[in-house]
Amino acid sequence: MKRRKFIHQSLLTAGGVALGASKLHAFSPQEIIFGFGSKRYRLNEQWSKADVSRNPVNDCHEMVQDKKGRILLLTNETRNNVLIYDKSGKLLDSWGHDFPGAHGLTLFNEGGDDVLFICDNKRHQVIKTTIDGRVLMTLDYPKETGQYTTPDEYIPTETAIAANGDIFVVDGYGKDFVIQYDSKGNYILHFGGRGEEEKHLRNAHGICIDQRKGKPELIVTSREQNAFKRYSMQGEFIGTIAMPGAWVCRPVIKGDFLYAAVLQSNNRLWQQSGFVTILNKDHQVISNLAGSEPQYQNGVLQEMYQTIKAFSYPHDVCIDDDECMYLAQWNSGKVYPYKLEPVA
Amino acid sequence: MQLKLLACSLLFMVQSIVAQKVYQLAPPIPKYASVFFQKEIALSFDFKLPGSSIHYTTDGTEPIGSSAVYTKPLSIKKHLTVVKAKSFATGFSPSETVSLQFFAQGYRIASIATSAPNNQYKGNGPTTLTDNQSGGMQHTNPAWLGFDSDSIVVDLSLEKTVSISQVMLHVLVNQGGWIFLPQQAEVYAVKNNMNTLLLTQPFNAADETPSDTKALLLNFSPTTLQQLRIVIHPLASLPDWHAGKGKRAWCFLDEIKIY
Repeated sequence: MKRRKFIHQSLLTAGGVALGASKLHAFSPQEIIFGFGSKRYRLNEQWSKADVSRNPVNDCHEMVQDKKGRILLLTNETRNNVLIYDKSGKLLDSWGHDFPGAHGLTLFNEGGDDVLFICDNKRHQVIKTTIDGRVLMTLDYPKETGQYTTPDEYIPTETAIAANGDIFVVDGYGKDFVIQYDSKGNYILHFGGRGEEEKHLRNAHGICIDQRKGKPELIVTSREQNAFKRYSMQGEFIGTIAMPGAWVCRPVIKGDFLYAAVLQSNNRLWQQSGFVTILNKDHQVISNLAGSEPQYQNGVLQEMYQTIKAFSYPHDVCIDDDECMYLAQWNSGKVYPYKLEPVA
Repeated sequence: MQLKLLACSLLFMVQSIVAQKVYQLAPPIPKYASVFFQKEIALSFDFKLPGSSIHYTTDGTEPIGSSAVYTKPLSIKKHLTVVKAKSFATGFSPSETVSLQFFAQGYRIASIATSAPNNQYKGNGPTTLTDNQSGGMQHTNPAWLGFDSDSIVVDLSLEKTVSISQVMLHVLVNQGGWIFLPQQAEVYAVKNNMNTLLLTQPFNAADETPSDTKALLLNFSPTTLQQLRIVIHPLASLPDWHAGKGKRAWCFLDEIKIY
């Protein structure tokens, strides 16, 4: 490899600074590239073109892309709980005034129609709606489990919907159970919950269905334990994906990769120390955006932490059909979501 | 033509400068067994950002770009050594400073008794304060004893009679968590069951950094003794700006040293 090319590449792959390759490089500003290896991004903080006086946000909790390619944001601002953008950041539509605790947003294609599942942790309910906000079903607290005596004990944070329409709810701010319902909302079973065994959960903040290896399985966040935990679709514990140092939010699978917002680093709690992490399908961390370079020693992932103060408290990521990433943040000065574009 | 190109480049530069934000780095991660040591203790730093470097000082000054570059673990041997470290990288503003102070053994404490800490934060009993373990910033770390009483009485017996002139109380401050510096401490020499007051030391409890660990050094004229009593008064009334205004603050201790 020629020296010049080598230098250029090593600067680009450093995960830190990419220098302009022009003659003017001594004067030109440096562009910050976030991430490592094949997963590196350019950050655009000005993606949202929404007018803050008309369409404010509070906590930006979660984001999904619908079949029309639009980007949906769920916020606990009841002036507009759902903001609908195009990929360029233009606000197309908004709806929703009845979700004071809007937290979890999951999209499911139900026989050709997009439907949404919203977890509201103030209403202690999961609400299924059409893509434009018409309520289709409301799930109250799961007394059928025998684990709850009042609605207040149940603070659902996320849902995942199986191919057959079964609904998996995680009670991530309540008792950390995973509760399975059929598509009509009839209780089937529950598992997880708190305890001392590895199969138990602590702050089961997110859930998704992983189909990357053929047979579907569930990946559930155990945020305070800095881990994801894998279960069969019947709730049998399979194993732990340790994420040392990282308060991971929901797992988001796109293609071969699992992406997750990391609310904060364990070494700097409640100090806006978040970043974004990306794992391959063998559950190995391959990149952290604004976070430490992932390093394995004897197969053990070393502690991860924020390195660049670009994000405050990332809460969710959404990967669109162009492989671009959108980042929603909790308690971060009511900022709109950011967009990150992959660097080739 | 060349002029046009130059103008174009300049315009691009200006736009980029306007658009490009300078991010601050996060601080390096210190790794050490304890801030209390017998002979020496190793201190290392971790910061996995390629292209970055960690600069540090041991003379109490703020690290700058020309300060020593961290390359390998430091061996701390000197009492009261202060290590300050910061992350640096081209294109970023340097991190906040990580500051750590290390404390040598002091006179050996043969026995210790304390008034009761809160049941949630009782560590491993009174010897938690003499075990050379530091609790860091996590008040739940069992190296800390947490007190919510109006006074904390600590009775110490040294291995032998010596001349001492300093007591060090190592405490936690986490004002959001109701943990403040004490408002006052007293040191008594104990001889034949008689207490002689050596020092009354008030502290500016409400003025400290909101979140930190701190060594409170109580200095008095050299006194020969084997037994002493320390009485610590947690802040009786949280300041007006605090959510717990008027209520008693907590006091957390992880070590007591006698010099």
